[in-house]
Amino acid sequence: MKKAINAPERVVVDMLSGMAKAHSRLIKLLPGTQVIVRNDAPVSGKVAVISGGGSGHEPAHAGFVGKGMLDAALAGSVFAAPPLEDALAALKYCGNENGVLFVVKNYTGDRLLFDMASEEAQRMDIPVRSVVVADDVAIEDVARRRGVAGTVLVHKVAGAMADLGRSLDEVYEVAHKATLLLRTMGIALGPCTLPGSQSPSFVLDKEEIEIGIGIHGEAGIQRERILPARKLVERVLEKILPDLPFTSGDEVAVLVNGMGGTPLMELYVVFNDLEDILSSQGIKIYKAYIGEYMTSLDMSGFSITLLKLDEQLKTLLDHPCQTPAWTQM
Amino acid sequence: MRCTRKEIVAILSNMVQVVEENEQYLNQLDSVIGDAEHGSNLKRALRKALDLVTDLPCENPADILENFGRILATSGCGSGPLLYGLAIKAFGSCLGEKGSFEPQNVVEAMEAMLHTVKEKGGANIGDKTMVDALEPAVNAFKEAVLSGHTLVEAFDFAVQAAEKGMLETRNFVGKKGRSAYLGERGVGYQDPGATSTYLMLRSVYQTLLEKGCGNSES
Repeated sequence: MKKAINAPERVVVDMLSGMAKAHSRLIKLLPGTQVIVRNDAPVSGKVAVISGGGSGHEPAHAGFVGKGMLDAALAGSVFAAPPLEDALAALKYCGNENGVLFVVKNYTGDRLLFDMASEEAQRMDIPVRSVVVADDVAIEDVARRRGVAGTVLVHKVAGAMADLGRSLDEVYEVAHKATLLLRTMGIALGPCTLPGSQSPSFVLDKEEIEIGIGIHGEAGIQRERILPARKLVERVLEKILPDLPFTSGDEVAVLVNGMGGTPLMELYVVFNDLEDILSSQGIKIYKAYIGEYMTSLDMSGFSITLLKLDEQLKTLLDHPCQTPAWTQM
Repeated sequence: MRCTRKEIVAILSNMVQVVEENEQYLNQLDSVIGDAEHGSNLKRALRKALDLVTDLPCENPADILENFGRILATSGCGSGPLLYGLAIKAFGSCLGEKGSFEPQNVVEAMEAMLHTVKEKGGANIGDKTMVDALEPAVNAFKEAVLSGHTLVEAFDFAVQAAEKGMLETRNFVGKKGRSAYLGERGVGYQDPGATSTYLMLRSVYQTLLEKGCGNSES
């Protein structure tokens, strides 16, 4: 499989080094780690918001480090939770008496990592709370739902709240509220291939798609035939809308997230139908984000995220931020 | 009954080698139900832990195991290295308290290892995880020791039980880890975590057999 890399085992370090060089006014790489922190870190007088996970989801997570969003992002190897020593390095570097909020995606490895890091934080006398994102409605059992693309909206609101100088409990509460109002579902049109791997993560026939995928190249919950974009959007919304439920009169932020190998053209086609269906149901789009936020390497496909908004969440989405992948003026 | 630094390092380095040899096999098992990285991440973390631990001026086998586990748990990526690291650390620290490799002490260390994996990972038998190989292995080991078998013989029983448990994961619907998201579609595929557990236990047994470690009254 052709990849523009030097060596599979160097992919993550080379990428992080490139990101840090490209965006040196916003972020920097903590030496000896795979941790990206704000260029002006450690920032005193505020809660530090730390997230992270496996690599292969770019721009997540390092792309969302900067004023108004994350203070630090941990990067594991491709699709695997970051090492504990990096979590501790980030804690030591960014943590202070104001405390740390971990934004954790609901995957076994990530949960385990941040649980262990929280235990260590207590020993280090750094107040820490964790908010777990589990926005993937493809999984029926709520406790087992994965944290997927909607996580970046949690980064945004938690980061804004922290930037306003609010307390750890207040930052946690707003992040937690967002997780309760957040729903996502994804569809793959094609698999991804890990660097160094000779074969893709799964094989689809020309006409087949995977419904209800996660963000690690794992197959979805079921396999179906490809449909027009309109039908795909309906297929996703029939799971998302009743789940919260989102109803007429609601205001939402929507995220149409590309999985890494889908043209922006198709994402806008998807959004066009999404907007049409939502407005026909009286659901008002307050903000729309279209693009690659939480990818799965070169997987083709997309996910749709809806976040139900109240006045506080609207204000926080509108709060300025400046990161490599997300700038809000 | 003693085990020297040299023997412990041989056990660990053979274990690392087995995972290295099976990297692609484990990745391929993982690609079906997970994300195709189990072998590579485990290999990388085990190799790093082995390199660092052999550099430590540490003679006590239990300390070597505890350090190996600690490094594996803190420097590896993903839940595999983290859980194996915590498990081996618990094993070493239990043996350190006991002070020797008497079979009964090894039973307690094995139980400490299993307890750690189940507590931290939250998985139980039948969830299609490494616990499906580890728990039967620990039980078989304990039973063998209680009925008077030597350490090496008990490991033989443990490996057989781990293999059986590993093969049984093919029948299970995943409940923990990434195989859980596939649900019924994962049935028929063997769990990569249970497989790496089996491979590592088998390697420990083979090294014990070759070296005669733990059998000699030295």
